Amino acid sequence: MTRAITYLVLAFILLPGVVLILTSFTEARFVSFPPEGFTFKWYVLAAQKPEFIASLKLSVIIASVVAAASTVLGTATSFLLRSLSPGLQAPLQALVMSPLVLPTVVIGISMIQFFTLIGLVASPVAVVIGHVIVTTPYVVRLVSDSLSALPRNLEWAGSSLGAPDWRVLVLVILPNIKVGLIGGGLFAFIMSFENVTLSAFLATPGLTTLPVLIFGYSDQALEPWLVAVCSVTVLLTTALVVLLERTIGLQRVFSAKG
Amino acid sequence: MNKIVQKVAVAAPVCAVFLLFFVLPVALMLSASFERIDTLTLEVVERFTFAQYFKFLTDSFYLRILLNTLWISAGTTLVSLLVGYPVALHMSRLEGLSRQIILIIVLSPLLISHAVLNFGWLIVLNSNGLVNSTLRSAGLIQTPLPLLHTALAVILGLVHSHLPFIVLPIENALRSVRPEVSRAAVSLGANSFRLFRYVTLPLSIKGIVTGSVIVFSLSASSFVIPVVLGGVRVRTMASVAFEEVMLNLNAPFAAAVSLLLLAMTTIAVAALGWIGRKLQPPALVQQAAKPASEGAA
Amino acid sequence: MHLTLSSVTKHYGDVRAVNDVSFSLTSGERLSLLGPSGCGKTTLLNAIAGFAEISSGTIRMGDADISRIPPFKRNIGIVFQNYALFPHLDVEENLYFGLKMRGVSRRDARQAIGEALEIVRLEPFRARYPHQLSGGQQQRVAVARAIVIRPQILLLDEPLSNLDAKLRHEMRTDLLRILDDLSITTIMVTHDQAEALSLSHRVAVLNQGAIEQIDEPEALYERPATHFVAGFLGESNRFAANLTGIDGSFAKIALPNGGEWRGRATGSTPDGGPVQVFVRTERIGIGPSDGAGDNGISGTVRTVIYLGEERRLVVDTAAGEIVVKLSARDRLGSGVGDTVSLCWSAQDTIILPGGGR
Ligand SMILES: Nc1ncnc2c1ncn2[C@@H]1O[C@H](COP(=O)(O)OP(=O)(O)OP(=O)(O)O)[C@@H](O)[C@H]1O
Ligand SMILES: [Mg+2]
Repeated sequence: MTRAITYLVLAFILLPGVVLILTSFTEARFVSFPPEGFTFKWYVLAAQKPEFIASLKLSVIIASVVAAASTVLGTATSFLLRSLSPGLQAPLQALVMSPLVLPTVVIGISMIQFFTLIGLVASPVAVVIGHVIVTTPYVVRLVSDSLSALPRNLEWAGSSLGAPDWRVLVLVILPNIKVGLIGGGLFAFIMSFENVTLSAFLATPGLTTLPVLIFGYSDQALEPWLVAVCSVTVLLTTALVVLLERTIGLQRVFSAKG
Repeated sequence: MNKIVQKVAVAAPVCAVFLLFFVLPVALMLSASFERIDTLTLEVVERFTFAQYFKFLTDSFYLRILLNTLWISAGTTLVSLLVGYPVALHMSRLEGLSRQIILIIVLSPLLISHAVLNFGWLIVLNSNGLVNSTLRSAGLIQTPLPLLHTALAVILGLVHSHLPFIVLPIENALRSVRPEVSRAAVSLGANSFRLFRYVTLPLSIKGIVTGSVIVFSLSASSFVIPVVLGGVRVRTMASVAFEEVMLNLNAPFAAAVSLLLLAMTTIAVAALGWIGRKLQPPALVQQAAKPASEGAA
Repeated sequence: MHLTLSSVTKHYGDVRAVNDVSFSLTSGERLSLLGPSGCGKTTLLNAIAGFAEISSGTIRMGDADISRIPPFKRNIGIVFQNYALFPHLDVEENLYFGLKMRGVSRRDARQAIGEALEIVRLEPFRARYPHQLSGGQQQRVAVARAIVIRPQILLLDEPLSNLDAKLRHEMRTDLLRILDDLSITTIMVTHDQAEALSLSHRVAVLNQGAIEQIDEPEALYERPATHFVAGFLGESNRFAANLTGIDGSFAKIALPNGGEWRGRATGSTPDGGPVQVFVRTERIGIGPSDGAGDNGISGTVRTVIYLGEERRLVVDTAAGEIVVKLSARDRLGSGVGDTVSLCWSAQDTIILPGGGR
């Protein structure tokens, strides 16, 4: 019984992605179901659309910068949390994790107001900052997880063998939390790359990331080249998801603790 | 001494980033929600007033949107539970690769952009989309059903993208129940329904509550999905707030709406937690208070 | 209630976890399953309970074939190794569970629950939750929960293995009392030989899914039927030898080193040929070679291990290394390097057919 329901639900989960991929090969000028014929021309067309190329470039750049920045910031925070007394740990933890708790609309509205105020509106920097705020908590979660799996006396063993603190860090700690670091970075990249909730506030005209571009087209007639773009992102993300599950175990990112 | 300097050197930038780019903006927004602006010139005409809150809470148009948001979120939570529980139950009995594959599929909506997923749903729900074409070729309908821009479409999209948040905590709770406990119940005469009713379900209430809280608050504050799948006909507080700040440039009103949304979800979440504690057997509440001694096993 | 297994087999893929097991228990009889880890004890128990569907054979309870009856209809009480108490229910509710499944009203259940709690001496704890109980108390709740439904068969999977050594001894006595009071047909799995020998009427030794021997405790210990049983129960010295003749109830055996011993002959002892000789370590004495035992050999003490209530000597002899277990009362001033003579009776010299080693 549960097996049958599970398979139905899995089919439901896969439905939009599969439908996107299937219809992207249609020969018709407007998307309909079932797709007519089979062609790759929409992929070719998409690759020639300057707005697509520009937004893809922008998304990749922003996601890369966000991944790097939030990995550094998140890792530093994790180390800090580990070394603080419980009395200081709790408020810092609350501060860093709260972007996950507040509704995104609240964050989005507050940020657009703030960036307008300081004159940083319509700047990719604003988008990057926004994304860093919402991706860093995930990095902290992952890296803290890896750190707490390390026995404390590993550091002591390193120190007792005569390594100064920074060498203990580089030679002993970092290699052991590599998985958490890479996973955190990769995850931050994906979260930034697919983000539309926050970007919709911050990515003003001339500064459209790929999801915002797609979002902007959603109320118009469905053009096949956009479907082709969507199906590319579906396939790309799927590959990344499998990679992530294999490296860090996705469940750890979403488990509702910390 | 050196250690303290080190810690401060790390703490300072971390705190600075979050205080400057997160706490300060939210604080500014809070204060902005008490302002009133001239909607033409966008000049602030009043510094401290409850006008925005008043406007929302006294206008039946907006109150209907509030109710709408409530029932859409509640509906999404309920449907997610009904759909997600069997999946969690099935997953909790699996090991290894088969579980990993299901896990990846279940989590996939979280990592694909909502904008992209919306596009998929548009193709499914369109007047010449998957559902309507299928029904038409089966001869069940002549004219396409208006599926898009309905509350149902919104709930469908929200359930889809928030399902993982309900499956994971429930599966987690179910997994911590030893298989022998179920066997004990069966050996004492429980058939599969009673096993579920008297053992499995009570032991997974914690997961149900955790999952429901997350799904409820996330779907209440989602606007990308309601904007696209609900269109102008189905509006929620989040989509109103989004439009107010982005289209009407009425930041104070948007701020007030989103803060009311926050207040509403907080109350709902507290209520859910309260119900959960009522439903949960007292032993498990006490156990939860203790540091999990066996949880790791 | 009678319980009869005939040719019960359970495969997991290629593994035969239970292999052609047959035995029959009379009403009220208690059987222990004993065997090395992975020999199929839990699987056999699960097969009887209905959690592991058997591949072939039949299980009968009384006259009814229960092999295909779903577990929740079998009316078999089980005590699990980790107790598997319902964590969300207090002691009383744990006990009420099985009665509720049988449609007993709460009021009618009260007396049965009270009696069961009395048997396990846990009346003051009826309102506690499992996590508020000690290991021994949890174990007794598990027993009470299994017996309150008045099962026709009781299954216990390593019921005492989660307790520390001292508590384990206490609980063994308690459990014996409880089982004696109940006189339910019972099967118990255990790793612990003393537990098996002391708690049950008969013991079945399992090896690789099959029963090696099933017998009363003393018979099993004194008259093992196979090499495996002789080696598995207690601690034995083993020698390869040749059977040269039977003389009434004694058998004459020749050792490769030229020595001659006398051993116990039974109906199944062959007339001649290669045999294995088993002598338990605690049956060997050290004495002046004045013929106190039927068999003897002298050797040099290599090691003495002091264990409090006993001492173990490892002695090098012409027949190989011999381990001797001396009780604390045997004060013998033998030390390492001394020459000693070992002796034991022909009754304690067990002869089983077959070569090997
Ligand atoms: N579900 C299963 N799937 C495959 N093989 C199994 C399964 N359960 C048990 N086995 C195999 O069957 C054999 C018997 O296992 P069983 O658990 O009955 O042993 P046991 O005698 O109870 O051991 P222990 O004393 O360690 O508890 C083992 O080889 C085991 O690996
Ligand atoms: Mg076992």
